[in-house]
Amino acid sequence: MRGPPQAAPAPVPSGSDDWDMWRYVARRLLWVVFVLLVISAITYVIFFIMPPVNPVVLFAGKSPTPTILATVSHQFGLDKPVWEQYLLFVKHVFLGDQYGWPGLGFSFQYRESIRSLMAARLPVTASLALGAALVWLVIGIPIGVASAIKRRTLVDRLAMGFALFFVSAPVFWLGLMFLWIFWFRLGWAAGTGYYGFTTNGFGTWLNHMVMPWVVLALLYAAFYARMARGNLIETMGEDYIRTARAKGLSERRVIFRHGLRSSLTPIVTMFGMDLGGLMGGAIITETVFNLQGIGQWAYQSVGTGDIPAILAVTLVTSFAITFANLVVDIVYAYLDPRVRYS
Amino acid sequence: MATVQAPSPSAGPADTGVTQVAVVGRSPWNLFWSRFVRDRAALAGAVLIGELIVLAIVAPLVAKMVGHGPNELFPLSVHGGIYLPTGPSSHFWFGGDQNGRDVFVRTIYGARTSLVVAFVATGFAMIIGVVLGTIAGYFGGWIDTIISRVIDIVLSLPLLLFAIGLATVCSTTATGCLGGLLQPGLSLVSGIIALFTWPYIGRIVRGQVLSLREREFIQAAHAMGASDARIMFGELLPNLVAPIVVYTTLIIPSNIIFEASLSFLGVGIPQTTPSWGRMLSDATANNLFTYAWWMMLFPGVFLLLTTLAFNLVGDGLRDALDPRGSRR
Repeated sequence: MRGPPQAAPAPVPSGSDDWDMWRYVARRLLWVVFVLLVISAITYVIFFIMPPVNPVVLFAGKSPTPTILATVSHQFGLDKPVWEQYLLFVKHVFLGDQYGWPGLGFSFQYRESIRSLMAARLPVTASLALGAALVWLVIGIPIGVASAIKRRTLVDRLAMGFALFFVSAPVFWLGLMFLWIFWFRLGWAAGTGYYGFTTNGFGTWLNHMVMPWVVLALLYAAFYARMARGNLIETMGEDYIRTARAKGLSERRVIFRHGLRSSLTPIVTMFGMDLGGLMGGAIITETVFNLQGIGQWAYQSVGTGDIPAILAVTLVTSFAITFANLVVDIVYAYLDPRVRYS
Repeated sequence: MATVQAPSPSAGPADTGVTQVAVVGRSPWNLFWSRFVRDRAALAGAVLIGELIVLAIVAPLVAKMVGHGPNELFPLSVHGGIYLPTGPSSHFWFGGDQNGRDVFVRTIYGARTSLVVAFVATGFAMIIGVVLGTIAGYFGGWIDTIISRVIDIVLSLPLLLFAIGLATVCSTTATGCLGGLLQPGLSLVSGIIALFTWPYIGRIVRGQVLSLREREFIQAAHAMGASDARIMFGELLPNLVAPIVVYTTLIIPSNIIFEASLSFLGVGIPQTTPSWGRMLSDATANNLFTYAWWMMLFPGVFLLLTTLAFNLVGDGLRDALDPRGSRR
């Protein structure tokens, strides 16, 4: 799911030269590390101190004796004090564990290393997120731009009606409606489930991904269309656009060369954060379409008390979001010459 | 942008008439109201919200009128020994669900859950966001740094996953969690949603306070020896009403979807409480929706109409309160 609409991103403070940029990047990287430490600590507090399901009892088998419970608890490393477990976790993330680097531990549920489990699910989530991102950019931005150029016409009204509808529609309902209409009734699209393209061929993979892409992308497309429209309308009122027109440039050139550039830069920020967030899995879309991605895994792990899996997904998602934020801020400075680092 | 009226009294009726009309200064409230009522989409949204609220309030009456309780079972249909839900009929307007409950009555009751959670959660989020945002923006320095960083961190959390975790954790025992602060049920879901959405309001309020803080009227208040609390809540807050109202309204639909998502995933709202999200989740079990489309369609349409209505009103308020009108 996507959060509520956000205000414009805070600009990077001004200054100049390359050295400043590297100092800025280093400071931001430290911040990323700090955020991850805090977030994993919060995850520890929520899931280790107050576990939704006690993993030891769950995985010790039927009517376990206290000795078995103690053994399982020791095996999971849950017999140590919480702060010690947390420090050990942090140490493993930085230095690696018996499964390699970064050490994310092993899954209580599958008795396997979290890294290999995650490696199996990452392609699913990446397929979903990247495909959907492409779809929403291709749908959302042209609609927003067309709507801004043809302001107050039928095109604009239809486009904004579309945007309003999909901003409001809940993804899980949209997913069900799409499944019902395009899979069950019309038989156009393939049903649920993920079919990797290395094992099942490109066509099967594509066939099963199209509907999840579109369903997930429509919500974002709607947000992007609204944002592109608002920004472009605002930009077209700027003085330099009047200057460009006064020089005798064609309206086409004014819009595409001068208007779009500065009106689309804020969208870059939004895009980075949205894509980063989705790399941690889209729980709802993955659940509706039964895609065994990271989001669905994390959601199921809450039910089974597989805490290391939850922790790993939280860490990866938060890393993706904070890192995407950093990348976006750097890209931003290249796109917008008014922005400098300090 | 050219068509937007300047928010000054001189743009009033004085320059239009041939006969001299007394110039009446229009208050910001008048200007806002005249813009809002001209926005037919926003008005339609407001009417729809009003209807939903009335529907939610009279839900028990509707149940009494129809004669079906929200959790009453009517196992009516048997096909070849398999229980299948019945479709819409004159007795069951929206059909029945997998347990033979009346989808119509449950949908009406679902409005209660959605609206209560949305209003309570958004209300809490607004209070926390406004207080912390004002404090951060007004005091600046290390207080601002701490609050802003907390906001950044909360916004980098995988929201839904944490909400699922907290909801599961706090629903396992009857006493709830965080020392009984979050009790299982509607208050738990509202609390969790508030916990994750206040930063959106907090960030906006902080930004507004930062720019207002330097204005003359605040300096004047300082010079007159007003206390910090008085300046924050007596001088700054009244000037923040517009952005707070707009962004709070725009957060309501996403909180409604937040609650529905949690219910859809089966966490938070108790089994017996009708909720649109849980009704949709019932429809997905065993791909039941491919047969019993009414279980998916009706709760979904109500959910969509509710979020749509709040979005319409939110957009209308934003346009009416934003004198630059850049988005219109």
